[in-house]
Amino acid sequence: MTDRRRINGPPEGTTPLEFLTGFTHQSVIKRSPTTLRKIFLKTSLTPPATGSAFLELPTPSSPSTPTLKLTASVYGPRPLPSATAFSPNARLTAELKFSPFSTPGRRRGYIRDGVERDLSAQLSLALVKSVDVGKYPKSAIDVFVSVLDCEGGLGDPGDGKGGGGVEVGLMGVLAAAISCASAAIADAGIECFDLVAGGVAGAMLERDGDVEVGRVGEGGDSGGARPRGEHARKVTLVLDPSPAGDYVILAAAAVGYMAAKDELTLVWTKGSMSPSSDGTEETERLIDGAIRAAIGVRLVINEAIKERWLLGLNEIGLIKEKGVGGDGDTAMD
Amino acid sequence: MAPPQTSQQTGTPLSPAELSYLHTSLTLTPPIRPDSRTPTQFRPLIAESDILPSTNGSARMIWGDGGECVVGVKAEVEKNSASTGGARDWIEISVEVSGQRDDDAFLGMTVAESLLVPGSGVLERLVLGERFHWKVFVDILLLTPPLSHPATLLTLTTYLALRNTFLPRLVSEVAEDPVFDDDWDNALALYPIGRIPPPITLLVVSVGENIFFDPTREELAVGDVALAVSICGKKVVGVRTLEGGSGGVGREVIKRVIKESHEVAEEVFGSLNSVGEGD
Repeated sequence: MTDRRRINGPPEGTTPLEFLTGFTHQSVIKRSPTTLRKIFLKTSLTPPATGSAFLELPTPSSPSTPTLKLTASVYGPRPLPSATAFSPNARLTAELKFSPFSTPGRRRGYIRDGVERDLSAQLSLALVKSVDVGKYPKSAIDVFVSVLDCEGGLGDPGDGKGGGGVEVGLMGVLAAAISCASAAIADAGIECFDLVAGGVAGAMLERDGDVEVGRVGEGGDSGGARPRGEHARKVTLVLDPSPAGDYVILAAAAVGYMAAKDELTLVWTKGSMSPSSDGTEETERLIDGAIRAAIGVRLVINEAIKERWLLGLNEIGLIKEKGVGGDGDTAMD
Repeated sequence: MAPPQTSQQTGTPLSPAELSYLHTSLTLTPPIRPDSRTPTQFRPLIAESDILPSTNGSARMIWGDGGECVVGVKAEVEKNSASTGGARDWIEISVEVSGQRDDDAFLGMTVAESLLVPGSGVLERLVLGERFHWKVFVDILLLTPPLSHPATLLTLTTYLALRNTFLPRLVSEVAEDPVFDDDWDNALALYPIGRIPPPITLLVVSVGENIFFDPTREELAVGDVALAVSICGKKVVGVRTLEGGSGGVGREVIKRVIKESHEVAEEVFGSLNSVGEGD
């Protein structure tokens, strides 16, 4: 007689569950230091919003590897709530939120934490300087960016590689958020001076070289070996560094750049490179590198907005049988 | 005339005409600041260190505009654990602005980011043998929300406090539970003289061709760009854009600001270090 009070296991044995081993950070597409990753950017994907955009970086070979995906939606210009004081300019607020499932390591809560508030503040700074806020008195423009998936490197516990160096994940997220939100603002038809594109550059130290240098330093006396060690370190400027890459980032810079006006709306650098010099020249080189990256990203934004615009013209019948890219897929090398 | 507005959102209580006047006077060569300071001159301040007896290090700074900042540094012995984020969690910074909800993420982030810059050597000094480490809590209290951006006040006070932080000397062996020297006179400085000092962040605003340090709120409002430049030792370790200014700026302006802040920082370090000696 069977025991009905308990839930019994199957009478014949089962095979133990086998889980796939966790995602690896190895499957990163090799690219030259000055090549940006391809970007997928498409606008008008969130119907209720006035303007919206979706940005995605390519997935490396294995589908379980995290990549950066984010959406931006713009609401407005809409009237300010009646309780607020008169404002002669439009008030632009930006809110960046990581989805709870977006990070590879720790789960993000629903309440905005310090990192998200900081990124939101920087995002609104970068955007507000490009929007012609004087054209929209007494109105609010709200930008919401939600990060659906990100590559890590956010400085979370258990996430870092621990090998020293700065984390570029946050900078990458911010730069992508700026580009995406800028496309969304353009999609919303809000008057701008220029479009802002985000770019990141980092000073990269290759891991293998680092190990060698360490050995040299231990072998000789420290005073004599240090300058030689510094010389042996190969520091290269890399555009659009990936936090998943197998290298140490010594310093990184993110900029919001308006290419047509040749102006910066946001500068964020962190880290330092060589102990010998004062770091001003390196910071300058990093900013220049980040601007180069932003110029590349700008081309993608231009294309995405053009696609949308042609589509709109097509719909009202101004253009016929014009080469409107079927899915609005925009990519660059 | 409309009553002066104090909220951050509405900016300064100055009218557009007044702002335009201020902008013009700041773009002159040489520029004229409303309080007749030179471009690199800071506002007068009162600074003192070692004011809180129950902390490992503390400092207090009062600015002429009523801004006051108290920083206390406390250290606790903590067991190394694999689950937390490692050395990154060993320094915890909290900023409390009285009279405001704690929603200003920027201030804490700036300080934390520059404190934890790799290669500064602080984290190595927090190691206590194989299984323990110091956990340092830096608590920053802004007593009066000052009329200008509090970043400079905050980092200068933090610098003073950290400079005066002493940790008891370890007398036990590496593998043992930590035992410390009873004598406070033997305590070790968290930032010994001759090593890389704690970072400071300078607030810089650029108006036309001119660059101003320690800007007031009015100067921030008319500036083209406001930057917070973090300097650790003799290196620029971080730059951030702040609220203020309209439109973007050319990259040359940014570079000039960075270069000039680097020069001014040396003077600031010098005068801050003399504060400690005076006591």
